[in-house]
Amino acid sequence: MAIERWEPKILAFCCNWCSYAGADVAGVERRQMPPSFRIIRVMCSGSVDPCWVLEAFLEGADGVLITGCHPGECHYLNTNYHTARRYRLLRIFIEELGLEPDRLRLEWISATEGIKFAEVIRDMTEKIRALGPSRLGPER
Amino acid sequence: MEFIQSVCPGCCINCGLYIVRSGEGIKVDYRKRSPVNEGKLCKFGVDLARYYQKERPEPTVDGKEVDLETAIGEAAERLKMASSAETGFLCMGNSTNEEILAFKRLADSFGIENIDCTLSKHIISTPEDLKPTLSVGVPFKSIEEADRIILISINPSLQYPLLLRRVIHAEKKGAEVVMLNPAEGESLELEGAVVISEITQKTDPMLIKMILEAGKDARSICFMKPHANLTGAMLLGFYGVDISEKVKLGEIRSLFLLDPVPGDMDDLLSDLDLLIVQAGMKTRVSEVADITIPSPRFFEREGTVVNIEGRVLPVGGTSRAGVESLLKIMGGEMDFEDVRRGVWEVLGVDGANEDLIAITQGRR
Amino acid sequence: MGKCYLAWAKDPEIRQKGGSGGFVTATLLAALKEGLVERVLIVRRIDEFEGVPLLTDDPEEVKSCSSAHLAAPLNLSSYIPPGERVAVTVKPCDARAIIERSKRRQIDLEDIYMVGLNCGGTFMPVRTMEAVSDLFGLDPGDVLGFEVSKGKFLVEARSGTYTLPMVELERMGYGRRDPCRYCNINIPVMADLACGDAGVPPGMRATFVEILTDKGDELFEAGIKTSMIEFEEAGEEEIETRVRTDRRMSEDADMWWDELSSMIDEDDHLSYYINELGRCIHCGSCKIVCPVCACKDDAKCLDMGREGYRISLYNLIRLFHLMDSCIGCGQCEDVCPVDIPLTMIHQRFERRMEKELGYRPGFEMSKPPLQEPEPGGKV
Repeated sequence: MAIERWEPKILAFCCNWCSYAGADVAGVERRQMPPSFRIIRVMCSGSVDPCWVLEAFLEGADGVLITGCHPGECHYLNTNYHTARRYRLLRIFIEELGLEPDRLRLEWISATEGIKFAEVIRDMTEKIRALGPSRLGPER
Repeated sequence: MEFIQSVCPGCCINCGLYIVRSGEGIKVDYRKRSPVNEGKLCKFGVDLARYYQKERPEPTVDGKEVDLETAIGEAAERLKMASSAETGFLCMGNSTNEEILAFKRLADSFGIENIDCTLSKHIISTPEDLKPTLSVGVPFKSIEEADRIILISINPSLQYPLLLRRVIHAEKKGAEVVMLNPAEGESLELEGAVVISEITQKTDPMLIKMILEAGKDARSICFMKPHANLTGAMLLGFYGVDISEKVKLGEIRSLFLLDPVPGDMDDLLSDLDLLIVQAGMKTRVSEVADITIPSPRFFEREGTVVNIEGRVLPVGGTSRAGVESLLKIMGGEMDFEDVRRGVWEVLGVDGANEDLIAITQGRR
Repeated sequence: MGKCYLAWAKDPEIRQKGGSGGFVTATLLAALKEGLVERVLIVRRIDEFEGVPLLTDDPEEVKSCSSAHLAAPLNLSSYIPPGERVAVTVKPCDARAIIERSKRRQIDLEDIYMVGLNCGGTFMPVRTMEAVSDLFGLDPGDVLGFEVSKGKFLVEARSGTYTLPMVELERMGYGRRDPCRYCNINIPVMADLACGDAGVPPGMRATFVEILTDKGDELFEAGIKTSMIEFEEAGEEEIETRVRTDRRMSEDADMWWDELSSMIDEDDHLSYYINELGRCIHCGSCKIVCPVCACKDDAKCLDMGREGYRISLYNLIRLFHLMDSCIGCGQCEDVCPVDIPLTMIHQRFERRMEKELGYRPGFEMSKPPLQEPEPGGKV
């Protein structure tokens, strides 16, 4: 019987106006990325309810990535600043909960930054691979 | 904001709580002073206000709304005409001790021996010396102090969360907790243990027999019950025959139901010659009854219940209407105070006192 | 620090009957008389071990409720009628809850006069009844009163006075509620007035009063105007005593926090949380009693009943939502049917937030961190 190798699962919430296109660019430019992530397109990183992030972990995500527009470039005035605040609280939250804070990441990635998107995915996958499976996911 | 000290009618634990009356209607609040539950409630207790908001029945005779006196008078007339051998009185354990005793006196006055609190079949098949074990359970403090707790065919986290709490405390203190679902004929090792099980209309009589036999050397046995005052009903002697069975066999043609809850014989009730219902809440059964006599909602009643620990607890209300209707059907020679004294006498207590475990199984 | 006085009720009967010279009772009566408020919200004493909220404009009822009730662990903020001017007696946790509720537009702080009571902690009634019977062999029905004074638990019963050092009492598992033990806010500095024993010279029937706001001034003035109160200015020595007492109590609380929170393995929080919260039966009580929860029936947490998660979403969402608003009042823990140490758990998250963001809920009307943007969008 083949031993199943564990691979990290990362859920990425990508803003429609920037990083969702950025992810597309990364694909079009054929940047090397591990197949570890799934994307949920959102209209703004600020629309990512912290509850979704928690639910993602409970559903078995080993990491959650939120990507949005660079500061000052939000399609909806300053909502990405709110994202940053929620992210900060979420980091504190999952740290107290006993989950490694590196499992959660927020990155500002514009529509043209395919390289950055691929880099973030590669880097995050490596970090989470080192951490191992999340202990908040369903029992295996 | 009026805070009424009351007890939960959800099961035999009778958790203490407040019913808060204000301009906005009624709400439930947490009564931390209650020695039974220290204020804590399960989902049923939390949602109790919604339960109490259900519609109350109107007095009716043959489907027509009448005044209360007419309904009471008609009930008395028709009970007189019914054959006592074919008449049954069924109390589902959702009434106060005072109502149950008045109900019993009423049955006696008509010479009716078919009385039941839904658990008669279990009680009559149990030897006399073990009968007390079926009614009152054990003080929760003694559960917390147990070394070994055996839960038989009962899942307190679903059915009795406020009992679960005590089991968890015992476990934290080092008690061994075992859950069993024994098959027929299996031998049970219950020596020195606090045994907790459940007794309902649907419980397999074999199981009760097994527990009582194997439990002779148990430290104590506690049978939880699903309704508010089945403990009181049993202690007041409200049992005799399995009425549900007799209705199914057609041996009972007239039935008086006290505070019914939906059950498995509901479909048969409309075939009866006479169905009288006294209830504080409208149900399908009160709708099909020939005579419906409304009573106050549970928390509005003056009276007491006996909880599973053996505490005699006041329900908290001031209305005597439920008891008085029953006494009027009987002819009105007795009054509420007579019934109350009767309750104290049968239970062997001086009165209600939530801080006192007044009734124990005795033999242990 | 606000202006400090030693004050008492002018009416000798109120002064004698009320705890600490009846200043609070007199002030409430004055606020009613002067029309500052329509009604007052206080605790009605049923007996030594039971008290319920009372909303009244009847001076006689107010008089009958004098002296603090240690075994009625209520949070009065939940009983404040919206849209009415009321005076309410508040422990620090009541006051903090009022401020948080006001931030979330549940009530309007402008309408509320907070008569703060210094608080060294409250007691669970049943546990306290057990204490008097287990330790002193008393029938709880014979207890006329109990109090905590100078580190001692004092019980006044028909048969005499009984006493035990609080430390001993609490080491035996009796005593104050856990959340009170580790609450380090003893003086309700966020209220309009702060009233207490600390700093009052021994033998004097008076209250040490600190005036904290303009509304506090109004209350004090009402007492003077209606000739309900008498007062003298607090001297330096008295003020110093009060500061010292407060500091000692806070240190004691921090010691309790360290001790009680040390039950959690610092290297493995998750197992602790999964284990404790795993007992939850989702009765919803902790949310119902939570004074700072403003979501009511539309709450997101109620919608998340999916089973099979390591920790239910109900619990996780509540933990996250309360991270910047939990004031540690202990109501959730009091009513939990499976005895999850909920307040301790919520406080662990809140205190971590406090440390990192420097924001303390329930002290002033500043916006909660979750409602604010991060300056500069800094990650």
